[in-house]
Amino acid sequence: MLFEKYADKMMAVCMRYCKNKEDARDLLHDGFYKVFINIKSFKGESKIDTWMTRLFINLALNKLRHGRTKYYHDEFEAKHEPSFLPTEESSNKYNIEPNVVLDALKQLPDIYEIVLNMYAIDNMSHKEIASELGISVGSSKSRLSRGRVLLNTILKRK
Amino acid sequence: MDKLQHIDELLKKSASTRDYAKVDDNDWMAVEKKLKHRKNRIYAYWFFLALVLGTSVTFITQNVYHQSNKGIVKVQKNKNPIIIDQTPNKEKELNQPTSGLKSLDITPLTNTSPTKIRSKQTDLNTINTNITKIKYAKIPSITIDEIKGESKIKITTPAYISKIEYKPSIIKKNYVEIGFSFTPSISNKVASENTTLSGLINRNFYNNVLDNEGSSFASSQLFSLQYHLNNRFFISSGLGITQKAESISYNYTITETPWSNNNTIEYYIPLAAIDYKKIDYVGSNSYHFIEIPLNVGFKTPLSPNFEIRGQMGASYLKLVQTVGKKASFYDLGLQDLNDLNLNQNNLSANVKIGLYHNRRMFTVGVEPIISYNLNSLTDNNSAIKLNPYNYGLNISTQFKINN
Repeated sequence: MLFEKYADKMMAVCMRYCKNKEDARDLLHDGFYKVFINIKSFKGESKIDTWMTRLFINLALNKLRHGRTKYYHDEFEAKHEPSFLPTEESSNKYNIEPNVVLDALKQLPDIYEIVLNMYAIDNMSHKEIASELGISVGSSKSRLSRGRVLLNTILKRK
Repeated sequence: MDKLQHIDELLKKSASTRDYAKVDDNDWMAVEKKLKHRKNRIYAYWFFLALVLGTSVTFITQNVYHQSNKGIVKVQKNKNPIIIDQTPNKEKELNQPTSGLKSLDITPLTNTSPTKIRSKQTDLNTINTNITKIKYAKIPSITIDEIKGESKIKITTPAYISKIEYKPSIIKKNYVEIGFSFTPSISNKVASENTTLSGLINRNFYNNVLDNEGSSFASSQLFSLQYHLNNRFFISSGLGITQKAESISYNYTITETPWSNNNTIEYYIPLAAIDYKKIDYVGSNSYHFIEIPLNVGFKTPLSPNFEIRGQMGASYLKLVQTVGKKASFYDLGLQDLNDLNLNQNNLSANVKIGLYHNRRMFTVGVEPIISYNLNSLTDNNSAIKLNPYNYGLNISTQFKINN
């Protein structure tokens, strides 16, 4: 069944684009509701989970635009002390717990967090990001660079 | 910056572990509930439509009386026939000359409660019933609006009228009007803060956004159904399309992005120059609703052909389409109205009072109207509440189904 197979994966998407678990759950429910309503429009041009991910991202962005989910991040605060990151170059060599990285991502301003999410994790191109967010390709690249710097700074500080 | 590309790998790796993203049965139940609710909602719409149609048909069929042009009318309610005698000079009960009169006052012959008869027969003599007034007589037809308590009426014609062109023979207490109304209006809104989220309103929102939104032209088209009671009250409903609108004229540049925590913007992060966003947008936003009004009205006659009608009540408004763009209260970015979470189901109060030209088979009315959304168009997650209102001129034509 579609829900059983992809629910965890979509929940991960929801949690990356929402600031707390409650909003992520709402997004998950809304997203699967839309999936079932719009399943007829899926033409098989891509993998179904790719199609679903895009649908969830679009939904999340709509909610973010409306200021619905962006204001809370208590539940995502780090529960563990992060590993020390001595240099930019070597940060990926350290064993940093995933939730610490994702928590740090949450601490970025939305404009950087979203672009990092879309580019680094969801494999979207700058052109696609620019189209989704209504910004220029240059702006998307700029936000990605600044987002990386900010994230690295936060990880280092921790 | 290439040195930091490993950040992408780090993110990807972190996101691939989904221990933090487990769902349970409750999530599936929530989705299932939503899907079920949608089904029920569709059934509810059909049920409501069937109810409106059924009610309309019932009203119409119940109030159509048998007609005759032979001087005999059956009254559906008490089943007693009313006999109109067309023999000249047979009975004369009037104590005043009838020729050329537009209004006749007739003393009741019994002590029963007063009843009105409207007639279009100038030289109408009469009568042996509990009728207090015959008004506005004119050749060639007779219209009897209402009779109480008596089973028979005799109407006698003067000798010089050889034949009464007797038309209506419709006697009733209640009747139905069906018609169409068009309302050009000016639309605007009352904006207020949602106190629980007011900390999220951008410091430049009022200057850059709200002060540059204004009123705009809108319109409504409505099929209306009115059920007129035997007193002066009537109930009005219908189905139509209503528009609410606002004019927009934004011209500002976003140079900072807000940073919020616990529903409050704590500070603003300056953007890099390349991220500055110029917002220059002039246009008109439209919100289209399906409207189902339910009003209670009162009418007062001014003259034979004119009356004042006043109505007040509420309308259910189902948002069906939005066209335009609007700035976010949070980051001032421009958003398509379709991306906003607007309340789909709305309730508005409306009041209208105006002048109606009242003919035998139809009425034409012109009346100022004001309607105000009782709930905010934006949902509870918005820091700004918007209650649209319209004021305009309702122009309507109503056809009397069984008059």
